Amino acid sequence: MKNTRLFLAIGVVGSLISVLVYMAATSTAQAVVTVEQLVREATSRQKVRLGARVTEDAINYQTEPEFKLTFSVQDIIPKEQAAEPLDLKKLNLKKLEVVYAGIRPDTFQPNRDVILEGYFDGKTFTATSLLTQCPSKYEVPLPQD
Amino acid sequence: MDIGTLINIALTVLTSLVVSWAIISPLLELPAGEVALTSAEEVSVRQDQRREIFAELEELEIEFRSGKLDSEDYQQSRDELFQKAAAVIAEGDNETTPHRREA
Amino acid sequence: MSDGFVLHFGGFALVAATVVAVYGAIGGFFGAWKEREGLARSAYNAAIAATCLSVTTLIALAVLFLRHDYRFAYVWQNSNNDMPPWYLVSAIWGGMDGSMLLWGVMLSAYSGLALASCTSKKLRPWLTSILCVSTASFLLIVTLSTNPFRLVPTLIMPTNGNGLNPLLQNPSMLIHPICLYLGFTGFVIPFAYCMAALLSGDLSGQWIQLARRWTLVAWGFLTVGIILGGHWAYIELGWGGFWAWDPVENASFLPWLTATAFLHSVIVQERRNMLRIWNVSLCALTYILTVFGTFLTRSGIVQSVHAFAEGNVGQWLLTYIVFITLLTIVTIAYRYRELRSPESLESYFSREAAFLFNNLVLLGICFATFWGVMFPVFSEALGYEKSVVGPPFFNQVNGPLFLVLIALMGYGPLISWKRNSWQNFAKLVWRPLLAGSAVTVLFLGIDGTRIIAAVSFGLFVFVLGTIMGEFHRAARIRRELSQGEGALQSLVSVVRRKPERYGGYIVHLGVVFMAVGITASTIYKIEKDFVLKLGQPAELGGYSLELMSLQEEQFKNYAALRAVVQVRDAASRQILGELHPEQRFYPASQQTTTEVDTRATPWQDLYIALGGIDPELKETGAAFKVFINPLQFWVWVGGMIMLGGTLVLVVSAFRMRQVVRESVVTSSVVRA
Repeated sequence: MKNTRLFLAIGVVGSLISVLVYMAATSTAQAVVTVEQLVREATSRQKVRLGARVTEDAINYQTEPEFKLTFSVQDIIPKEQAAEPLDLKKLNLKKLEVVYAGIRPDTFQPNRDVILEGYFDGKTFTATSLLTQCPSKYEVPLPQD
Repeated sequence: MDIGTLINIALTVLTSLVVSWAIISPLLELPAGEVALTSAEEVSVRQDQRREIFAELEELEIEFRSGKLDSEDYQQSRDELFQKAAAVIAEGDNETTPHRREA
Repeated sequence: MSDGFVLHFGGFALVAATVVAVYGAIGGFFGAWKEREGLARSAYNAAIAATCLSVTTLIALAVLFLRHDYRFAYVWQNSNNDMPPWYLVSAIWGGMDGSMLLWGVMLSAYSGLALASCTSKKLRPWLTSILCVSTASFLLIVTLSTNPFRLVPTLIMPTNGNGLNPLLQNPSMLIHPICLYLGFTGFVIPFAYCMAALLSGDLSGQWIQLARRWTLVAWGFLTVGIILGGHWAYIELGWGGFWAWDPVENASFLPWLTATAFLHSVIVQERRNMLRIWNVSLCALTYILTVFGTFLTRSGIVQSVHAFAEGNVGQWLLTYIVFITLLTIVTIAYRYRELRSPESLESYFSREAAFLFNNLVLLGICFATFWGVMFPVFSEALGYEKSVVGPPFFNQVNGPLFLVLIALMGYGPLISWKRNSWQNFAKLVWRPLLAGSAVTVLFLGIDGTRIIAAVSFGLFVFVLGTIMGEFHRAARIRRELSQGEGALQSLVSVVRRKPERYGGYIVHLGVVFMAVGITASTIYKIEKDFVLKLGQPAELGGYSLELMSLQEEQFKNYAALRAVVQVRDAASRQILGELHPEQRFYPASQQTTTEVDTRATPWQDLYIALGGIDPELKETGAAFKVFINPLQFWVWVGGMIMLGGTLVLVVSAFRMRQVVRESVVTSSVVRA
């Protein structure tokens, strides 16, 4: 066939890269979990990512001898369901304790959403990375009369 | 009505008229005639072509003397380029048919 | 004021532009297909009118912002009375509606430019139609879904607005999105030329020349936009890096990769008339990826710190992507037989093959990045537990692939077309190869653990050697040929004679410098968090840092915590300078931002970010994040060199006057 060399090159390089992608994905992938899931399963997990909301419970921050931020989180309720504040208590959201060994981020506050990456030992979540979301600007409602 | 609204209305009407005219008039007119390339433009196009060919020749020379080409390929490419150069020069001498630029 | 719209010239111009563009698309199509010249002309005028109208819309929106017209919801959401005029203008693209409008306006403006400069009678009607399809689609989405001229639902005009996110009130906001958008939207022109050539049947190769020059323009803007974004992230966000493999960052990277591949593979088509179907597909894929990029940012299907999803814009954009993809596939299939190249690859040891491998690696990086971005979507869709991949994945895959790409940069120029001899190649390659190997051995001697870094630096030196060798040889031979030209003069002449090639080498040079900076600042980065107390210095990486003062200050719209940190050389105790990191709190939006300070030398960056007050320390100390980024400076230098090389390429691509005549001699000369 005329284009044998071309297709062979594409095939070989394509396969090599696919293998590379597969290996990297399986070794670095993090499962996306929820607070409810972790608390319910109560088994240790490696390499997970958790998007949650910081509760209003006590936040502990120490800078000596090393940085340590301790707080608790709960699942984020989608906007639609959170319309009535009273329902939150009825839902009885589970809470999860988190420990983060680093500087407390500027934007970190109760009721802010955070993205955590790390591992779970069955009781506490140890965060290796902590990202705090900025309060969403597009949620600001237009002025009403 | 305040001046702001008046300006808005005026601009709206004016724009509508201009745009409508621009769109409708070609539908009613006869097709535009083809415009011929002026002789000055023809000359500059040919100059561009000559410049390209000479640049190619120089680059060929550089590649050969760098040791990237063997003499056979070098000779062949050189002959091709000389042929093309001759054709472009011949075109310049040939002034019988004015060429048309597509309008 | 009531819910809905008020008669406003800006809103009218938007609707008019949309209507006119739709007409241009449909009229242009029939004018092209049925070869009705009057209709084609009418559609052309419509396209130009759409350009003028959409630019007017943008100007009208700017006027609304500058005049603080809070009757309009978008103005209210994104500005307030305290903002200076330049941020008021940049607030236009600070939100969804305005940025979508900006995208549509740029598409329209590019369309007008391309059409006005197109002298090919065969291609122009098709060009009109395709460009109008893109403009009309975007403007339709803006008009119907993200209209910036909506009113606030109150009866009285509010006296002040909501204000713009303080993170966006930054000089970079004035340039970075504009540059990026000019890059993204510019790819519609090569796509349109490609489709026009396929649909009209004019596959003479003229479309490649025209597509290439506009691809260079768009590619240039995209490159600068991406680098500016990295620089902004570095100096503004305080995490010590400039590229996080964030989905929105990746979205801008995907079309860049395919466009780079296209810019290389067109050379193969011009020289050897090969890879024609490949080029057509790449050109279309680049355009589709730009729309995919904006879809990713605005749809919210993947989480990102940049994403600002709202409404159902995502669905509209996805529909458009599917439509364009199907259109492309059908069109290519339609012309498949005429497209197939008569030539084939003769040897793997040839420049064609080098370009092919370059393309395959670039597409591989594109595929891997795409896979990584869409991983959460795919993992869930395939029934697994929803998972994500982050920087470790991208570094593990793309790192080696980029090294291969850079190696090809050094290898390619030394190879000739069609076939090569090993002896010739060995003569050219042994010197740079020796230099590179020496560097690798040197690095391994210093630090035997970082093998990848050692190999990388050796590779960079090899490529540097090859490129310098090319310039040197060409200048030397030119001096032999021209007798009497000075060394510098001959170098300049070499670049001027064949700017396509040597401008490309300059860009490669820039890439190597960037690679050096990126490798060093990533692998040899030193990072530490610590508390600095007044009068108690701390040491890191050869520096001694002492907190001199920590003060709170009140400004008009923010409160600031300002630190002064004195930097000394740890060994000699010599004072090297002072750094002023800051933290700001904006009460209006309840947001805290960090103002980083850096001490940059060509050797390394000392980078400090203020972490915040510790309530126990109060004003006696604070937490700091300190980074030492070696050779960071060269990342930005490399970027500037890339820009310089790109300018050479763009100027030369537009220099050649369009050769329009279809004579056999002409078309074959153009391809030489």
